[in-house]
Amino acid sequence: MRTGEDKFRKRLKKAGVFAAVTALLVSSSLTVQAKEQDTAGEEKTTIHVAVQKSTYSPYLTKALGYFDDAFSTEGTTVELTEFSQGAPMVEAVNSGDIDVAFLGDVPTFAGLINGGEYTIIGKYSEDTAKALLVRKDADIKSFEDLKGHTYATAFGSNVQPLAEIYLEKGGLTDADVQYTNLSFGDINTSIVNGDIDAAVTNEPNISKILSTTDDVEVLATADGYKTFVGPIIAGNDFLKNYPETTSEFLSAIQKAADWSKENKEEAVEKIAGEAGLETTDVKTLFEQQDNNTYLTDEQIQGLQQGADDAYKYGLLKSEISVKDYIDTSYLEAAGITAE
Amino acid sequence: MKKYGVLNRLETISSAMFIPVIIIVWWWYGAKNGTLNTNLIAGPDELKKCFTDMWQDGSLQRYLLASTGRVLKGFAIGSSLGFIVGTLDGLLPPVRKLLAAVIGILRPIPPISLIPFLILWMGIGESSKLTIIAIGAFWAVLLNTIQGFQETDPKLLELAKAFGKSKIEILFRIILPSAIPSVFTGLRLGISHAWTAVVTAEMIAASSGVGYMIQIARELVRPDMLLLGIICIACIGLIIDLVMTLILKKIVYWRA
Repeated sequence: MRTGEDKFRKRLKKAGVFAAVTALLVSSSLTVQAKEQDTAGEEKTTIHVAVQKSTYSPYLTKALGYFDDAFSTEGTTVELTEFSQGAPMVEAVNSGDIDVAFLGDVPTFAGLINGGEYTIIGKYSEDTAKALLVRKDADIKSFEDLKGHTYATAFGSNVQPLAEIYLEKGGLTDADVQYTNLSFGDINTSIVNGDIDAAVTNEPNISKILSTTDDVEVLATADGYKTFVGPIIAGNDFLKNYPETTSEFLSAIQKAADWSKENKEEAVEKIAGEAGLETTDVKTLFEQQDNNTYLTDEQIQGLQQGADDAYKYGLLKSEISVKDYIDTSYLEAAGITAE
Repeated sequence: MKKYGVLNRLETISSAMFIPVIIIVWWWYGAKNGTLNTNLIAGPDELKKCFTDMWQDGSLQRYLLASTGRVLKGFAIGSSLGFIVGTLDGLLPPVRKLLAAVIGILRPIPPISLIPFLILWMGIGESSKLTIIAIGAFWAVLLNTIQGFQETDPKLLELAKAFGKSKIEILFRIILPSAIPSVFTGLRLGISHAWTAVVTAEMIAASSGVGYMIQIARELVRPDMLLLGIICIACIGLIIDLVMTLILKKIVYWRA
């Protein structure tokens, strides 16, 4: 015969299980609902933009006040959120927390292959401002000499294919070097301290390293090996609900790019101030890059080449036709075309 | 009696499995009908393919072995230091006073925040990774060892002194046996924390390991590999915990 205590325990157990299951089902439905509310057809009060230290265009546009000029009458603000790498930006766009992102080609393609719900709407940069840095005491004078040395880059970044290209040029594979994954910040520390012999990295990190120490030199830049086109992506829900806002956004970015052509030194200072960088770190990349937002046929081919390289070196799990994910209609609506 | 023992065990297992099964069913159903965003959490088909591919090319086994090796080494270092310092703290009041503030200040520092410092100090080799794992194990073992020594029944100590037992006899016959259950609880927690710390440790320039696998999965936007890595960490963490619990029951049999 069951005691009162036994009955109570049994009821408590059942109640606990019921509460847990209910909580789980409610929380999952709330997650779906929250995303739907964000994309209701109301005015967009804040455009959430993901940037990195090396993506100068949005910083310059903000510093010049062009975002405010474009959106002040609508009561919309543009909020820049800084990320250290592209992959978390893709996550944020996929989750709807970020509307527009400025990132590298490799994470863009990786996200699209995994069903990412975003579109390439323009570009913020075309440059070759990446390089292979080597320590002078490592006695590396050619790509072949990399054999057996520690060789670092940021895995999954747009720089990794260039690291693979250098190895290939030296007749080497990943197994011939001590291939090491380091963030760009850790590459700075490690190569200066002598923990690694060689690294492939980007601006402004190249300038930072070379200004910190005389023990490191540039063995090769990306010139002649790979051109980097930096895509601007936007979430498909954002594009569907706010097409005019998208065009106005791109127009503000292009306006800043046009201004910077006539005011280069002042542009460098404004970018440095807004991004929290030294002007010397900003200058090198800024002078080398094409910061127009339109995409030429050559640049689209450059993006496709980037995708093919990334697949070839195992960074992407399948091939991708990049042009299927490009939509230049927002640029065209803003009157932005290649000269 | 035996029948009720088996039924009891079945009831315990089924109660424990109920919520995980609900979660798995929700995940499977959500991925199939599109409710779940598979760009963020991989579905069952993608997970299965990733597991099959990585098992067949041997990379999953390599990563698991690499991480397990690091955890065992880091745990050995951290738990040894934790036990030694904890014993000194537990037995010697002057040491306790000396360490009280240091423990209070250092304990809240999360291992992940030490990464830049460790890279500067120790470089990017195995020593910095093992240090992160050792720190993960150290605190759990230290604090439980201290507690174990402080929990010795004072009446037993009084009785032993009254019977004229030497300090060595009191240490090995009363204090240590009293402390052992708490020390082993600390070891059990320590190895769990060490396993958790391996993900952080392998952010320092690793080229193998489950933590490396998770980091790469994130950087290459591979939610399937990311989920597989997380599941591996959870399963191995559970196995470690079960093994330690069994060992604890055998060694500290008098608590049963």
